[in-house]
Amino acid sequence: MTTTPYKISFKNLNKSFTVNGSKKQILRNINFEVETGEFICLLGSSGCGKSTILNLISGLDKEYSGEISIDGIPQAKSQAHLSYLFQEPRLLPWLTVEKNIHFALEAAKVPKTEWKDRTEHYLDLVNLSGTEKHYIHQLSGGMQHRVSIARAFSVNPEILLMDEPFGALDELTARDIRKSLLQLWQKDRKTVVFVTHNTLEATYLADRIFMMSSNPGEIDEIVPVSLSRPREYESDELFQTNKQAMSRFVQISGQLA
Amino acid sequence: MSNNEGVILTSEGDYLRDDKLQSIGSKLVALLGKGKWMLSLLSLVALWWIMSLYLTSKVLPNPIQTLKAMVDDIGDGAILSHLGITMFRVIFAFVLTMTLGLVIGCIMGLSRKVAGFFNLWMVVGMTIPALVYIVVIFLWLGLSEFSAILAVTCTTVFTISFNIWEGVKSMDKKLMEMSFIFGADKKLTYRKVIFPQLMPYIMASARFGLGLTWKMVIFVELMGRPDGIGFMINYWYSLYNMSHVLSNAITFIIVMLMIELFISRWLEPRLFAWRPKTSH
Ligand SMILES: Nc1ncnc2c1ncn2[C@@H]1O[C@H](COP(=O)(O)OP(=O)(O)OP(=O)(O)O)[C@@H](O)[C@H]1O
Ligand SMILES: [Mg+2]
Repeated sequence: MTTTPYKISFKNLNKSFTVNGSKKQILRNINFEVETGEFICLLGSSGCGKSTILNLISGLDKEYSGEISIDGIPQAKSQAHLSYLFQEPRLLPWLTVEKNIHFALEAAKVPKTEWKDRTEHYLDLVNLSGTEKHYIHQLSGGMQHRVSIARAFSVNPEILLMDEPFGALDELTARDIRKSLLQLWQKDRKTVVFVTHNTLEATYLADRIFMMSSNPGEIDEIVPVSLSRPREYESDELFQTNKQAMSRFVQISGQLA
Repeated sequence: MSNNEGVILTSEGDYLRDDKLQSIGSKLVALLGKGKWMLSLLSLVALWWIMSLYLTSKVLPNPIQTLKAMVDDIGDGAILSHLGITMFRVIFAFVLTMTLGLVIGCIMGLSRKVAGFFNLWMVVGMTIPALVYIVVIFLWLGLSEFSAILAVTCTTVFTISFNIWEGVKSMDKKLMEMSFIFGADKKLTYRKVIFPQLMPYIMASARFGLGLTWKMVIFVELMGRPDGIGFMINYWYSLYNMSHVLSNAITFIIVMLMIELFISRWLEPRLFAWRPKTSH
């Protein structure tokens, strides 16, 4: 019997950084699998190594011991098309909003005839229609974040890595975009790895939550979220599930112990 | 009298709408701005004139005498051909300097080992006085067009390379990562990510390099060329004719000022339109 390989898998992964000559272990013995089309949240406190995991998946960071495979192929050889929403917007300030999205589309070799429609569509999705010709410094911080969200979605990736993408937004806008994110995701089921330190965000979005502890970073528990979709922000089930997730998270990270 | 908003009573008693008044006001300010510029130029000329009153015309001719010499020079056409030759040297040396500077700066910026090794060379290269380059190159290679341009290039290229190197070093690694993640190829990365980051350094180097190059060209012409503005200045100097020295110098300065104004008023605002405006 043949089985389709996991979209992403980590096996016995260890990672350390050397700072001023001394080696410090950042990630210890990380093992997990992500299925195609799954929505995973990495939940952990600041500095536990969440961004580092995304850097490893994306191939930005190539120094580690252990195995990382994408579609069953070692990361280094993988051709999978992925998109990374960084913690900061990382836009090109010398280009206008629309040209920033065109940059990603050109990089992803999307035919030029589609640029206009895609740009319009994804800017509309993040409520930024009308800012096409603005330069980046003419936008507020939150608007810049939304442009980078539109850019990440516009290339239609197989895997979407998101690093606390809504941290800089006000809660109402963040809710709006989370909802659009889920709608999008339910339409074409990309594989998403989403980093957050907000348990409510994690329970609202995820199929499974990977809870991490720090020093060195480990995945202590994988919590499935069995709530049906679409989920409602104000619902009692979400509230209950969040409460449970929160108490597990507190136990694991030992902040109140 | 009622004080309607947006309506202002002028001394003649007629009413002007607020926005009309504002547009007149802004025109006035613009005119004053231009006036200031003219005022500043005129007072410079006035200062020259006053000084020339206290000195003999052999030492400092007044502006009118200089203008006459200029008309003479331009009239007999010689100055234009000398100006042309000097401009040719300036442009040639400038392009050579910028190309070399970009290449050296990028190589230094891309490899730490190379940079560590050549750092000292660069500092030495920048420290050697221009006169030493000129004398040594003329001695070794003779008084040729090639050695003139080479000498000018040597005096500027190290500083330019150093500037470009700074630019390469200060490139944002995070933007490079972004470009990598989206799968941008080399060409796209150079066009949209690397080059725009270097542009401010390239422009600053270009302006600095141009200024230094044209001063050096004049100097080199004076030392070892049979033509060009530098040669002419030296020629009139040996005849002790100050008004023609000034006429040659001023003609050349005007041309260089035009180029400088073109860069700062026309080119740079277009290149850096994306930058937030700094308030004056
Ligand atoms: N390039 C680096 N060199 C040395 N140490 C690093 C480097 N990058 C990250 N670290 C260290 O690795 C640890 C994990 O960093 P990481 O950025 O993955 O944290 P994080 O979980 O994303 O935190 P946050 O929620 O604050 O973004 C931190 O202790 C950090 O100091
Ligand atoms: Mg992080």
